[in-house]
Amino acid sequence: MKKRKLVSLVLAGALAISALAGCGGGSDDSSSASSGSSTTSESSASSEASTSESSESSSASSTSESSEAAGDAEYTKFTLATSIPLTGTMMQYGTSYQNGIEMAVADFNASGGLGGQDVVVQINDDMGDANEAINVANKIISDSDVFAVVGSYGSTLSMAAAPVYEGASLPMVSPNTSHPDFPSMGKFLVPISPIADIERGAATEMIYELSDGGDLAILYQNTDLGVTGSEVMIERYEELGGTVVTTETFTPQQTKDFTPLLSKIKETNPAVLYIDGEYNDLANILIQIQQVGLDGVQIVGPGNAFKQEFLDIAGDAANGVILAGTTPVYLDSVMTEDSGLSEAIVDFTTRYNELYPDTPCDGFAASAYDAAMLAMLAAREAGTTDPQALMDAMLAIPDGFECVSGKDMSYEDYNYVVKGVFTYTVEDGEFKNYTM
Amino acid sequence: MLFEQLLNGLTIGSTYALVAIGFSMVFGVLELVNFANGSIYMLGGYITLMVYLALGGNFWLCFVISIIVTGLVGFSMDRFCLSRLRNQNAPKLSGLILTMGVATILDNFILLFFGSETKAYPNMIDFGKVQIGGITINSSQLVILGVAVVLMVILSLITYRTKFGKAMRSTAQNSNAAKLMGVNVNVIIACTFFIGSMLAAIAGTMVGMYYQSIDINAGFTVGMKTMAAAVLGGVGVLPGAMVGGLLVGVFETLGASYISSGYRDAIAFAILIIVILIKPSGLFGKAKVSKV
Repeated sequence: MKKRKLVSLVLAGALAISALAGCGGGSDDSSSASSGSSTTSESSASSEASTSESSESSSASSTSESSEAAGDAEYTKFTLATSIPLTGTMMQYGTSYQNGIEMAVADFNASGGLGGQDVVVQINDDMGDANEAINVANKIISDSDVFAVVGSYGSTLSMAAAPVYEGASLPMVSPNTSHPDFPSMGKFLVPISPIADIERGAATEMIYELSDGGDLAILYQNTDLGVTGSEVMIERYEELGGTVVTTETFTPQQTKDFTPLLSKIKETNPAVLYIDGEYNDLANILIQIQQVGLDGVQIVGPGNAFKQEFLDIAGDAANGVILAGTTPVYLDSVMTEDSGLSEAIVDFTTRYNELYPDTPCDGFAASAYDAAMLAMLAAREAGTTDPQALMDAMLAIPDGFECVSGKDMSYEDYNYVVKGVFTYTVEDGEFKNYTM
Repeated sequence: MLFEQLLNGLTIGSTYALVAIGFSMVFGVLELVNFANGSIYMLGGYITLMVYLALGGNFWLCFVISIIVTGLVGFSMDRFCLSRLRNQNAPKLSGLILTMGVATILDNFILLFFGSETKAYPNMIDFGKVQIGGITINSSQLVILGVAVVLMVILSLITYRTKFGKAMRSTAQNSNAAKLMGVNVNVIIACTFFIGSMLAAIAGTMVGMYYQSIDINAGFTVGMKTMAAAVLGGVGVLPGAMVGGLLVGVFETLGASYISSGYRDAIAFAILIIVILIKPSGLFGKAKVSKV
């Protein structure tokens, strides 16, 4: 009797703990987890900053005396560090990143490197975990040969690690961090993806035009970016004069059953449903939309879904969906003459797919390639001794840089990146260019 | 909308129920919290897909192969790990930690072997959908509900009507006494793991078909929910696990649709905690009841 009670109490306790963990910390994307970790990062960063900054500058000055200078640029550091998820649930993105970065470094070294010396790439695995990203960041800043870092995947990780790099004045080039607050977090942060406002703003305007100002429903993932992204959309849509009838949210990686949300959205009878999520969640939602029977509603989504895997999972359910993103689709079906894609993009895609036949080219690989290329070309122009000069060169877009992760790339307001928006639709299980 | 949401909840709840039965059986017999149950559920789903992609052909045959292979994984876990602990009279906690270890190994094995990409899953139980009034009923939902109910009935019959079930229940009550009465306790326990893992494989595959996709996070969430379901119904009581599973599914669905979608899991677990506080032995658990 007593024993039974004890067992059930222990079980109840374990459940209570696991319930809390499941709701708050389980997803490393959830905002509560990230706010917790970013505060720890700030404190560790500030303590780290003072020591690392001094060691950095002393080692830089000691090595600069012995190094040769090519032209007016000084090359004292030759390592490009990375912080990417190579294990854990975000592994697939890390693999794309690694491929893109290694390809960029090979291309760069083939074209002469830094004053004849090869750039070395240092791969670090942050496991897709915000705490681990901070550990990796601390390891990277203690290495005096590193002139820039590429990473991390996702806003939550990048924003957790950013204060560490910022404290050490180490330029951080982030391929896919589109949280609106990221650029303003410091002077040494270089996003390659525009903040969500640009993509979401364009999508919102398109939705308004498409539906003649019809009712909009939003289903977004509960991440830092998802929350701010939906706020941006609501504000913009109401400015235009439309009505947002409902917003629903889900936890990425955990929510598998979207039917209650979709049944609820169905009740509000919207003209357009905008879904913000990674490609797999988006595909699952589209399948479940068929099951719930959400007829006559136009589905619009973000550029995250520009992947073959998205089409594979969603199948017929993807037909008719409209997707808007700042990276293009890298699949053969849109690599046509009239696609409007630059030669650099087509060339990059072909070479990438030859090099890595197992992992088809996607926006993540292209963004990582751009991130690494931008850092290295800027380093060639400005040298690697002065991080601020390197930053200025990156933000001015160095000579010879050809963007493969989008179109019309430039920087405004110091480090806010601006890119053009691509829109696609899905027809017969293939992406097609979409024009209204 | 209420009816549609109830059906949504019952569908997802019946898969929780299937996994929860396996969990509950193991707990009943061994008083062991099997943390690996969620991972085995996921493994079952992946093995079906892998066999289907590798061999092609008949999906149902692949399904059967997967059920057996997954059952064997559960069996091996007991035969090669847990039974050794039992023979050495190791404390119960060691077994619990061991199941956590097995869960981690299985999760990472799946991650390394299949990658972290979400995989497309063939839906073999989709026979269209029915519209009644404003309500849409999906055939996949009905199939899952049906299969769950049938399996629950079969398992209840086995447990409460057969000699094997009697042996299981006596092992649960007092394994030493059962041993003295000529029950082969080790075989009974291994079979319990086998059956529990088979149920998990069936649930994993059906959920894969229902959502037409499977990914490496599937196990974690389900493991959590099934534990909740088993505790809610009364750990060790089979009908309790079924009802608990269905209730957890309905709670989270209704919570998501009528309160807030962001707090769906929080709502489900909050209800669970309240129930446990009021009735610590669970809905169907009695203070001193024979456990299986």
